[in-house]
Amino acid sequence: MAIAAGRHNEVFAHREGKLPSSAAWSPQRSLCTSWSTSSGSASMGICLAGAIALALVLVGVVGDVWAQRGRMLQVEVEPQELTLDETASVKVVVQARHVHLRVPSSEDFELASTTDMFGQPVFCMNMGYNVISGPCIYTFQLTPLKEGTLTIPPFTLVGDEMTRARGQQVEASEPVEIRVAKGSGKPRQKKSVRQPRNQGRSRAMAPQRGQAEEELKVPSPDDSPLTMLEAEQLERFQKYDVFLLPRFAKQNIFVNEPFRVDFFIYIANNAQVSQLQDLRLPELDGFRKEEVDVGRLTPQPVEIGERGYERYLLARYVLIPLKAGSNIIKAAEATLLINSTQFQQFGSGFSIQISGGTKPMSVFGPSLKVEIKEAPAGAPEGYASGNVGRFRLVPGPTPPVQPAGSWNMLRFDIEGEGNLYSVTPPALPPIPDLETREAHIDRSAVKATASGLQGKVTVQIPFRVNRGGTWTLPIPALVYLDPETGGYVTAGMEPLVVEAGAGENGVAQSAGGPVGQIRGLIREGGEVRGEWVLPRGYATGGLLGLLGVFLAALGVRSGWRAVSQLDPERRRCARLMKQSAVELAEARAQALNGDTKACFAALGRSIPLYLEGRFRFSAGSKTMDGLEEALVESGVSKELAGQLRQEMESADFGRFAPSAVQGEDCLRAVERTEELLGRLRRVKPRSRA
Amino acid sequence: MKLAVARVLALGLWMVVSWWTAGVCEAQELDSRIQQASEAFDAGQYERSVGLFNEVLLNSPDPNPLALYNLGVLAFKLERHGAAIYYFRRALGHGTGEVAAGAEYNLEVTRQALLEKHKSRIEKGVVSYETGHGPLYAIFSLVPRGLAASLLVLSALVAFFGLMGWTFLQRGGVRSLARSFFLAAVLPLVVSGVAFYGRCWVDESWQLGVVVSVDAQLVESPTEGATGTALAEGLEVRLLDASDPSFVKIEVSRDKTGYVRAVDVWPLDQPRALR
Repeated sequence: MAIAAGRHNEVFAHREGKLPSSAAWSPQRSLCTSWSTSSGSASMGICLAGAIALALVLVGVVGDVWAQRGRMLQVEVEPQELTLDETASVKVVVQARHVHLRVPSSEDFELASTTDMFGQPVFCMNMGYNVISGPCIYTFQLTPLKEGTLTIPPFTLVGDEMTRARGQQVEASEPVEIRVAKGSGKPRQKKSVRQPRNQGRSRAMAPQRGQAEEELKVPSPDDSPLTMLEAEQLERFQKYDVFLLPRFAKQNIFVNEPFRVDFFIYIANNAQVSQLQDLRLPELDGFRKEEVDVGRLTPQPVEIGERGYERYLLARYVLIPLKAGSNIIKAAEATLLINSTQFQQFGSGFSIQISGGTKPMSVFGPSLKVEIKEAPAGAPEGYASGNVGRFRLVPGPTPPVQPAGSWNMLRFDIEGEGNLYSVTPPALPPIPDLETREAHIDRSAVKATASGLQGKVTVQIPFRVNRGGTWTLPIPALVYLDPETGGYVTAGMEPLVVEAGAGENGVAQSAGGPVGQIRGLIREGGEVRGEWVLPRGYATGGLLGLLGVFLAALGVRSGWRAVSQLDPERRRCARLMKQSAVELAEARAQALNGDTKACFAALGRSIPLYLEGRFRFSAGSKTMDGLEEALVESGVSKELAGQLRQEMESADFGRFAPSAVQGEDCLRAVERTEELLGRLRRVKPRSRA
Repeated sequence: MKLAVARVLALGLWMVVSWWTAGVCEAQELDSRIQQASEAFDAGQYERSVGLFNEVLLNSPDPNPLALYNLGVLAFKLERHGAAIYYFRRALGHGTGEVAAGAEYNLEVTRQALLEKHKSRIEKGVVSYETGHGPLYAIFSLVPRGLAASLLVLSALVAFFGLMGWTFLQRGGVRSLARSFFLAAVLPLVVSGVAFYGRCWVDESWQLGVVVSVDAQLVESPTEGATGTALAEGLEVRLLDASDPSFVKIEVSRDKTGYVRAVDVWPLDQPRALR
């Protein structure tokens, strides 16, 4: 920095003529004279020393330039000694691509950026969003917060998303120390420093004199409205340093005709504008407006008279005048941050910044009077007031073949440029046996662009025919006003040919038809629904009847049993059979206990008891043959009677020779007896002779 | 004696033939009127068509689904959407096949048309098509009465015979089978019984009607000139008391009752001519 400052000083001092004049010091002539005329060692030594010194200087300069060129990040602070009442300027030069600059922070001072022009660092050759392509020069205003020796931490560069070193530090500057002395208590002001010309600015013209914000000339909001023609004469604005101006794409405008209007801000090259803080555009009453995206603010150099300006496109609208006559577009207003830095120019070489800071300032543009013309007289039939532009009718796809009576869809497009928001599509004329419904108009494909409203309007007309066949549907012409020629134009389209299949009486029959159309009359049929409706009383009666039947049956059975108990013989027989069952259970129990004698004894008692109760004869008083004969006479089969006799003999044998049988034999005898008695239960007793 | 018997038999035969002939002639006459009414409709003579269908409707011993359906179509054409709802609802209840399907479709179309017709009044909150007859009505009206009755009879018979077999048969396989049938039939018997008797209760307790007038008003007392809140055309309401020939007490929802002129509400269980 010291070297750089020294070099600047030397150059500036030379330009100011403070060094010895060329007549007093001419190295070329001295050297030539020495080489050509000297013959002494003194002259030779002086010449050699000068050459060496010159070589050293050249090497130093080249080395310094080379060293500076190779560094990606340079930080300069001016001045490095200041008081608490003053501020210092910090310049950061970045020569790198695809890096982000990270500004250090400290509790000892504040750093405020002063280099943004509408939010963009100047001197950047190729700016992307948050990407520095370099070289870029940033300046910051450093405000110390305490006295003493303060250290500014390193500024760092980190790689952006496009590099491998994404998010990583790729370069860091050296810390810089500044000395801050106690202030005088006066309002803070920036320390005056010398700066090279045009520092931080890329404008062609350099400031010619001190120019604070109070001196910026801007239009007054109370100025009388200008006509559109007057607004086009930019020379009338060259007296202003900053002004807003709407510019119309055309002069002769019809009602309902879309046209473009751009809002520009012009900034003279010597105006110290730091940032656009706010923009308030007029309400544009009497117009329908569609905003067009203008992207990033990009300066465009323009010459107005002899002054150079930078022009920025702030907003762009497509306006549609809703009524004819005179319309006043009020003045736009912008709030700018103005650099209060003052430069002092010395001759044509360099300037000195003598104060700094920013202040907001309101800038206005002129209000404009816009004349909107009525549509020409003699509009042909079919013209609608919104049909202003240049249009053409484009047929859509041929409707599919549908049966007569079914709804179908007719489609065509209106394409072109003009008031597509209001253009009225032509309607189908009345055609016998053809029914239409309200058309559906889709204007979603209409876009506001830099050249106006463009796109297409899609028209869909539901229709149905009441008889089958080929139908030719004439599409009426679209009549529109061509604003370029001021004449009416008729756009036509070939008739649409539609096929319809055979239908049923022309009435929509499908359930999938559009809601709102009911099915027609039915001429035959109409059978009454034969739903079986059971009266509640019948149902209740039926249920109660079933319950009654059940209860009655239950009662009959109980009664029968009661009556049966009245006969003594029947009661005796029942008792005998019950005793038989008891004896059989006893036999089973004894068999399980292993007492075979008791088992067979109980079994021997059980069978005669059952036979007496069932067949009403005494088995104990009969021989085996007599018993078998009695059983056969009572209706028992011979086989069953024989098996029964065998079981009775087995029981007698087991009772009298218990050692010859085992408990398991008795158990099996019990089971066989149960099976035999079960078979006897199903025998209907027969009265014996 | 034989002559007397012959005379009695001849008299009986004559009565039977006369009764049968009268029925056939009446049916033919109704068919003829329907044909004439359809032709009048095709000719665009809606008034005459309405009159003929009215005759068919009022002279039929049973609700004539064809006349009800076609009157609904005519009411829709004449933009009497409330009356169209009434006729299509009745045609749907009494008709079969094409008539029932058409009535169901047209009923939905008419409801959509009503919503569109009274869109602004609905958005302003003047009328509303929200009705509620309570959860019991909603539950018991779900099951068709015929289906509930059939299930009840079937399950009752199965349960009865199962119980009889379980009770009176001797021990054996048949008795076990009977017991299984009885136990299996108990739950269906209870459910179908609740559904059937609930549906009977709903049918007898909820007499429904349709608001057929555009300017029907729900008033607090049955007096002429009383002003109240507007009733939506085509709204289905419950008739609480229809004994008064001038005013009918109705229930729009559980907490909203009042009176409406009898000419503005048509009961769904009574025939009404389209005027």
